[in-house]
Amino acid sequence: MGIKWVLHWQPNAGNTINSQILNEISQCAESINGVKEGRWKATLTFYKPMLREQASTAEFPREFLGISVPEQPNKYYFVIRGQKIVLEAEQTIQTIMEKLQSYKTRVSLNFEGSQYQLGDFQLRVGKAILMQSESLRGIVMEMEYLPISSLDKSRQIMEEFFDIWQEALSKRSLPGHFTHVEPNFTEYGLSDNYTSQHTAVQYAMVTAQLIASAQAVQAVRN
Amino acid sequence: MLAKMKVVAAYLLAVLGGNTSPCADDLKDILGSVGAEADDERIELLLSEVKGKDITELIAAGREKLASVPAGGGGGVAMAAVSAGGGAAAAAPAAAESKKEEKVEEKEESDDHVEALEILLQGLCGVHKERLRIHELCLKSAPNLGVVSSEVRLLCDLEQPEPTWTVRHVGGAMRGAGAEQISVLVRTMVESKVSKNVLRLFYTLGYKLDHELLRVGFAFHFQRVAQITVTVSSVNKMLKLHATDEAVPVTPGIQLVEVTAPASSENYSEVVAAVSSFCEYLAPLLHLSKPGVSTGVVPTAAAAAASLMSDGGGTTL
Repeated sequence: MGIKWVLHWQPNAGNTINSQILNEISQCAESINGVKEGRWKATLTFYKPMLREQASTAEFPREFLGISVPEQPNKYYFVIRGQKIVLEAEQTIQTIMEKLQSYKTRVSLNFEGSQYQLGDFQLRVGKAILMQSESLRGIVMEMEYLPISSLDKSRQIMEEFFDIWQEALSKRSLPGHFTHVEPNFTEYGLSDNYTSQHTAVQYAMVTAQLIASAQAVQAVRN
Repeated sequence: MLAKMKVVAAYLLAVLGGNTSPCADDLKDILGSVGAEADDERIELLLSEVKGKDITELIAAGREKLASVPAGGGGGVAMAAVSAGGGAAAAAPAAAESKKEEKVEEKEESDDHVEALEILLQGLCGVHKERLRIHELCLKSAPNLGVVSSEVRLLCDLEQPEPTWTVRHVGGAMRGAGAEQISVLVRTMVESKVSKNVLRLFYTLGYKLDHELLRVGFAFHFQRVAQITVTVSSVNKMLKLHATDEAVPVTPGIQLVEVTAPASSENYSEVVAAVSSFCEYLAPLLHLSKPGVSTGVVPTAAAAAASLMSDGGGTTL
């Protein structure tokens, strides 16, 4: 596979996100000659330990995520950010976790939207919604460059493309911008050669960012 | 039945050895070499049944016809004959090779009866065996984790160039009146292939190593309605943590034979039928029992092993 950046929309201070922003971003992708190529979807599920007594939760991971990524529909990923673990498994691992009755799923986030092709690049713009409530929780974007799978070698071209994208988007004067926070993949035992495990780690990272910015908005309101 | 099987086994051994039409004396020699009694009447009966027929013709004639050879429930052996004729050259070296390796690894008494079983299974399955070497780690949940305590198995296939890992969950045995009536134990089993850091993930989740073992043997994978896997393996324990190179057998001389096939609720009955029908061929070679119920050695298998491998073959299957 190529290399991918997963980015999230960071609203300006005091602003929130809405579906109008998402529409503008999608139109922007088309305005730079992006060819719409159908839908994409990723999901992220929070697991929490089921404890028999009021046992100390400290001995169990605070954040344990199950993730499915767009490019690998038959695979499933677990990410524990605290211990820097990413595991690749098959979809059946979810059944195994259910049967073990030691961790249960709490909430799930769906990431879904449209995919655009721009030469060797693919853009996937989408919304993050809670599976139960459908309300918009965030805006994310995947930026993929197909010909290269080395993180290092692709860095320059990714940055250049991202600059072009930012410039195109800035004409619309939206109250926010896309942010790219690259996890330290080496800590997860991942190499320079990009895999779907890298994507899973990025979704875990992006989700943490979405939660942080939502909490910041809450704090401002209060 | 024991006597009949001996004669058939001797006949097959003769054919395997390159004698396409063995006579009564050849069979007596073979049987005599392992101290087995030769029964003239049965030998004559067998030879009259197969007279003038090439073993490859018998293959063409099909399983039903072979089953009419007086082998007494020897469907499995008849199938073995199919392979012996069709792929004798391939089957024999494979057995020799395996013997060598097993001796290097286990340093146990020669498991000749296992080799006999291997040859028979090869015919029955119609595919070549694959070597099996699996490190199995059984993990249990920490005392306060989970509604009930849970157990999960991590399997590391050491035969692959790069070891591959699988998570396996084995459910409780099916209960109720229906389960009592059938001769097997039904459990659900779910597996998932995983990346190699799976042990670290489960440790982090609060699982602890309960025990570990090493399975060594061979396996056959083939498609017969269902994707059936037959494994013959011995269970070894490790004296030091994860020291798979220094594993020692838990029960020397005893092999575990497993027949498995993946099934879902949609194709469950078809798969069960496929496995049952395969087990009918296995039955003359092994006693099939519910786990934990020891049934001892099947006389026919012991005899077949003895005749084929010119060894006492008195060890338990």
